[in-house]
Amino acid sequence: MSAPIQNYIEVIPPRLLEAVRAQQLAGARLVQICCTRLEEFEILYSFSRPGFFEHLRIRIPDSSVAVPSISPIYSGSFAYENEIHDLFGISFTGLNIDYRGNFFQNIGFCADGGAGNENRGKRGEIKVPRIGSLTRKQFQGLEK
Amino acid sequence: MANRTIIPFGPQHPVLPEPIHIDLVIEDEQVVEAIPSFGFIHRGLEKLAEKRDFTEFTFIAERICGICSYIHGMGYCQAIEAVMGLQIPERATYLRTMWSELSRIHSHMMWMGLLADAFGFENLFMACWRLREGVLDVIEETSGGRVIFGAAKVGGVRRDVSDEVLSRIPAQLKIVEDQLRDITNVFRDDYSTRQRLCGVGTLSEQDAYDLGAVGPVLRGSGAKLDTRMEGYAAYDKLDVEPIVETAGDCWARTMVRIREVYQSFDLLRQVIPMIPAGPVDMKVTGAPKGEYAARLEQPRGEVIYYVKGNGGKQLDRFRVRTPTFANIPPLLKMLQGCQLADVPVIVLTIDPCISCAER
Repeated sequence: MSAPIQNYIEVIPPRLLEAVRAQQLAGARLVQICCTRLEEFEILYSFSRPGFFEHLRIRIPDSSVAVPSISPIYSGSFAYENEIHDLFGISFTGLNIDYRGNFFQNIGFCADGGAGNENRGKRGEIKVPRIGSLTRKQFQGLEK
Repeated sequence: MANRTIIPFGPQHPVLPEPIHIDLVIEDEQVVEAIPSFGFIHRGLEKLAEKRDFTEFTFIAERICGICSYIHGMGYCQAIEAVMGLQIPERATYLRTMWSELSRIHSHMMWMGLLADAFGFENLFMACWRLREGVLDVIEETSGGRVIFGAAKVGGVRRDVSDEVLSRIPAQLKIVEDQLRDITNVFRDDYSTRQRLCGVGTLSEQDAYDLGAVGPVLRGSGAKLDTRMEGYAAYDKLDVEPIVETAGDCWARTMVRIREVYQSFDLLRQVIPMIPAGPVDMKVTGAPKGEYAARLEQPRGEVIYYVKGNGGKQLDRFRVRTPTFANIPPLLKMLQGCQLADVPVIVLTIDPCISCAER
C-alpha cells in the first residue's frame, strides 16, 4: 500500500461544519487540527480514511473572529481546539469541553500575551481556580 | 448519592515519568470524570522552527522527546523531503527503517518495565529494563547514541553502518528476543498481572475510532490501523501487518505492545539483509516551498509532522501532532467509571509521553 495523495481543500468558515459532517459521513477519522499564524490565521483540519488524507483549510483575518467548534461532530476535537485557543488566542463557539484558557497551564508567553487573558495574571499566573470553567461549575454544583 | 471528591493526580506522581495533571472527580472510589491540564514542560519548539534554518532544526526535532527521538527527526526530514521533492538514497531509507524498529523495541520494553512498576511488580520492571540494555547496545553501536541517535538528516542519514556491524545485529537481537519470552509469559499468564490488567480501562473500537485514538490504544480496541502499512521509508518492501487485540482493556493494549516487539524483531530480520550498498545521503540545495503532512508510526502511534515553507531557510510553520496528544480524549473516556486504584495503570497504558505532547 502506498501513501495516499494529500488534498488541501479551502472552505469558508460558515461552511466548515457542513464539510466536516461530510467527512464524518464518509467514515473519516479526525487526525489533527493545526493553526498557522501568517498575515492571517489558517486552521487546517486533517481527516483520514483508507486511501484518503484530506485537509480542510479555513482562513480567518485575526484571532478575534470566533470559529465554530467541530466537537459536536468529532467529540475528541476539544483537545485540539482548546490547545489552539491557549496558544493562538482563537475562540471556538459550541465547544463541548471549554477550558477557557486553562488547558495549557503556565503559558504566559504565547500569542497575544497568552490566550484566555481574562483568567490570567502576569506570566501565566492563574487568577481563577486552576481547572476550567466547566469543572468550576461542577465544583459549585458539588458544593451545593 | 455518594459523596463526590476531587483527587488531583499529578503533575508529580510515582507512576508518571513526566508531568501531566488530571483532576479526578470521584464518587466513593469510582472515577466519574477526569479533567487533564498540560503546559508544565511546554517549550515552544514549534515556534522555534520559525527561527532556525530548516536543516539545523533536525537536531531540535530529535529532541522533542527522549524516547522516540529518532522517529521525530526522521519524520521531520521526511516532511521536508516531500516538500522539496527529494528522492533520498535507497540505503538511507533502509537504515531509517532499521532505526525506527530499534526505537520501537526499546520504547516498548521501557514501557513494559514502567507498567510493571505501576502495578507493583518491581522485579519484572528490573527484568524489562535489564533486557532493554541489549537493544540500547545495538543502537549505540549503529548510531553512536543510546537515546538521541543524532542520525537523522534532511536528504538521508547522517551516519552509515558497516556491513560487519549489520551482520552482527540479528544474533545480538536473538539473545534479547529469547530472554524476552520469559518476561512475555509473566505479562500474559501471571495471576497478579492479569488481575491488574484484564477488564480494566475498557475502550470500545467505535469509541477509540471516534475519539481519534492512535497506535496500540486503537489497535488494542480492535481497529486494524497502522501507518507503516502506507509504506514510508522501506516499509513498502516489508511484510507488515497491524497487531490487533479486540478486548480494548489494559491487558489488550499490553499484548499489542508485546507482540509489536516480536514483530519489530521480525521486521529487523527482514530489513537488515535487504540493505543495499550505496550512499546514505545526498546534497540538499534550495529551501522548502509548499506544505506537506508526513505520517509515521511511532511506538505510541501515528504521528503527524506538518511543515509549511515559503522558499526561505526558515519554515512558516512546523507542527507535530503526537500520539500522546491524540490519545488524551480516549484516556478520559477510559477513566470514566474506573476505580481510583486503577487510574495509574490506565494512564500508563496509553504510554504517555508528555514532552512529546507539549513540545
